[in-house]
Amino acid sequence: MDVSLIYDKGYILVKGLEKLPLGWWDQESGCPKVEAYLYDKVLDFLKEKNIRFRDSVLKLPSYEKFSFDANKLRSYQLEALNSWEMAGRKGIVILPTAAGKTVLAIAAIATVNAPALIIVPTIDLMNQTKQRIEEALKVSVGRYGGGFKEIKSITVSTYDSSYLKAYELGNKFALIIFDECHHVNSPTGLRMAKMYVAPFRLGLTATLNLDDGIDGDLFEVVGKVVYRRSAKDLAGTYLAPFEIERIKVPMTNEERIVYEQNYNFFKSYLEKVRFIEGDNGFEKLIKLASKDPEARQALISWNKALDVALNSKGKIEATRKILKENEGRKTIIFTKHNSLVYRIAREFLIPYITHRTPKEERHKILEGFRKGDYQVIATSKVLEEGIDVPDASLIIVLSGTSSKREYIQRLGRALRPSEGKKAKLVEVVTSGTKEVYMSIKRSRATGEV
Amino acid sequence: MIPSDLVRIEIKGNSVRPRWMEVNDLNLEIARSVIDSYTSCIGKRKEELDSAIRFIEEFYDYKLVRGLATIMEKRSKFVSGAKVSPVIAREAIFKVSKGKPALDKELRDSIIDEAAKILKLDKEDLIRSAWADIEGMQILENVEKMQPFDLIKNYNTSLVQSLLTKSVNVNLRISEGWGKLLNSIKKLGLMYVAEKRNIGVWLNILGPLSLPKPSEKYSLSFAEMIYHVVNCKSWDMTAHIILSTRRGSRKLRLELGSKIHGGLLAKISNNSFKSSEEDQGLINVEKDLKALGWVVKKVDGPVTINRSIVVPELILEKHNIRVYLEKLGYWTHDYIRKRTLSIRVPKGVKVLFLADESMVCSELHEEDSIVTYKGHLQSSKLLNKLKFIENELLANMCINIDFNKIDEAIPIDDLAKHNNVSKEVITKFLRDNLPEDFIVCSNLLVNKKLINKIDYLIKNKHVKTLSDLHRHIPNIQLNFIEIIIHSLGYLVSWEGITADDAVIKQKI
Repeated sequence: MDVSLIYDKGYILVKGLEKLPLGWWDQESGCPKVEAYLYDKVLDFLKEKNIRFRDSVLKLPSYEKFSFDANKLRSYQLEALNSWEMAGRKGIVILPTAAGKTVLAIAAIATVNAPALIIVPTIDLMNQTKQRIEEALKVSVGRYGGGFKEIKSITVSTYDSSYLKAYELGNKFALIIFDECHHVNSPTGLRMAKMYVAPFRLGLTATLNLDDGIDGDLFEVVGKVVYRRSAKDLAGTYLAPFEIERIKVPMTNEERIVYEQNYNFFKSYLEKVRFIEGDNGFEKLIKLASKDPEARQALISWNKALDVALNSKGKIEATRKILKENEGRKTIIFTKHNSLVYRIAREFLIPYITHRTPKEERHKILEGFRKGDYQVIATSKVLEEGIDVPDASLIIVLSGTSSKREYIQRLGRALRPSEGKKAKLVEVVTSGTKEVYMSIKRSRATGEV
Repeated sequence: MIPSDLVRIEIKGNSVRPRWMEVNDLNLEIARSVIDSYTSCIGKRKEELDSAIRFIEEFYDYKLVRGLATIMEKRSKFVSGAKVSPVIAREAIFKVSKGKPALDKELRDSIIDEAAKILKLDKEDLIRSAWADIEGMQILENVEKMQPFDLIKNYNTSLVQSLLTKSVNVNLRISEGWGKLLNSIKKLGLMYVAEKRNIGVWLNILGPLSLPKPSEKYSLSFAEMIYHVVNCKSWDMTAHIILSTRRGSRKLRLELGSKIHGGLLAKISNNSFKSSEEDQGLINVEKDLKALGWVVKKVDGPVTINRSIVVPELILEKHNIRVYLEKLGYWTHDYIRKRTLSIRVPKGVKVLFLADESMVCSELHEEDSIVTYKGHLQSSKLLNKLKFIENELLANMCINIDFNKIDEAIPIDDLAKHNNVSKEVITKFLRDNLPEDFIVCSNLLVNKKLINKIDYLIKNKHVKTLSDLHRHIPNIQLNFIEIIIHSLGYLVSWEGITADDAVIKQKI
């Protein structure tokens, strides 16, 4: 029997076999077909059955030998690398922001010593990662995405480009590293990861399995969690020590009336339809709101109440007080909604970044913040992930969701260590509102990650 | 078009229909209120307009009100009201503040005063300019005049457009005015198959969800099509829409017709398209074509070949052969194949498509029936293809298949090799010349005698596995046998990795 393995646009064709348990019969090519990520399993199967075969799946670009001094790794990075190796060079490592995930990626590339693809969420991060690897390994790194189509020994790409071009990139790498690998946990992310042959896979993230339901497929295509360290574990040694403070501000009388009126309407509606808050009750309400005018009114009331809580006037004055007490500290102010960003920016005449800020202006503001030209910047959600944000030492959270991931990412912006630095995160919440509960819920994350 | 979260629809069984906004007193009042909000906010900030719309939403269905506002917004012009660029204004402020926050009123005022002086603006203009680009700060300069009745019709059209962008395909039956419609569909660059029927034409247009790669431009052109359909006198439409519902992703039918829905939808008065640069490029190659002996005829509108319809730019004739040259808009390889298969041409005739590489919505590969170009059509590439077609058409006229000698089955590839022509030429030839005793199964030409034999062996001789069957018909390859038994309604269940373990079962 003359068996041969061929890569075909995200799949592997096993020519010469009549059946393969891992795949299905492909009428068009007249042979069994398997998803590309199962490549190593196909090899195992053929070897187990003593079937001789010709393998022309991988078409690796020529590569230089990478050298990296493992002594440069911190103890937990070395532990993480060893755990990943022990797991067959497959798996997910969870480390907090600023704990040196890129260094770990570089060490993994040097360990495998074969062409590698690193997938990152944004073009900004693609450029930054390329630069950092080039500095560390002294090799020229290719970019695939954002107008570049370079395939080199080490190539960096974005999730979007690596999905759109998976059919042609899929067999060109032996190692694939998913940065911020929680992005793989989506239908397109999983589809993409399955189209690559790479038998060695490393997922890196700060925030896995906190809020979102993790699809079992994520572990199937990247590997299980092989190592995990939290911000608390590393604070004071490898990360800046940090303290967290929660300041409660009262509502004005006018705000209280609006809040209570709306929240009570919302609550009485939930009671009427017997939805329980926190037990999918809110999801049920959203579904019902598209049909039932009263449900919609309840939803509007909830949003109005939340709007009062998240954007209460007292928060502006509290911010003023915090900034006065912490004069000279590099500060990032986070909010949930853009409207509060604008209010803060106009009140204190500080630069702001929202999703509408043009790229050029965003770079200018971040550069100004990095150099110390700007002491305080305000933002909503855009600086949480995917952008190289200069380090701050004070984080003010004026509003947010209950998401632990969001909280961890915001805190991470202040954790890069430096001589004598003590990071601080101050949350400002409106007392007597649901926001207090949301704050408690998200802040539990510091104990988990 | 309105955003999908504002689209109001009703799903019944496997059908979907828009929740039409009927013309009645209440709806005219809602439409009038939305129009009035816009006209009364001319010269005011967008946040004031948004607040006026939110007020109307409190009384009526918010999806409806916001949908109407979306239509008005597209017909509105907003200006920033800034005296200088907001970025420049902000930079001046930060320069004065030295990047530090202004934590008291006096400091804030002095920073604003100084920055205003630097930019030679008064204080109010600086404040207005510095944050003019944030949401809600733009000023409504003017809005297109519209009557409540027209807004209702445009709203209904937008509902249909939003649904159509979620379609896999649309079937249209047009009895009058189809020529103009086909011209419009072609000018919009849509992918279509058209066939002449007893009355009018039948059209199948590929929807945005049929594309391998999503294309916003294609979706917009597709949505635009409804205006041109409504302009026809008599039409019926069936669209297959994919929607995410509570029961998961569902394929639903949307049925519309001129008799029932024509009056609910908006028409466009200006139906003309500008001639593109490419049309000029095509005219430029005419000279070269003529020099090689082709007789070139310009065409303005659809042409019927048998029952199929093409919309060519040029017809080329030489000896006894004829080539229709049709320029495509958006295209995919599947579309080219579908189009080619749908056009039944007599011997000596070929339809050749000109395809712009920048309009491809799938992977780019060369195809037999296309000439691709980037920017401008190169006459050398077209002439080379025409030379090939000329030879192929002449060869096609002398294909020879001796059906009497095919007792069992033969791969179409072998016939192609034997006749020294491409597989497609043979496939096309078989489509037009297949004797009754034969069928085509996938890539095989199969004598019905073999079909009957296999059926007999399975039913009466208790042949249970693929390898048993192969022993009875050893001349046919294993995978070909599998193809044939599939067409007979059997399944092959592979319970191991050899044909001995491939059990033949009846399809359920």
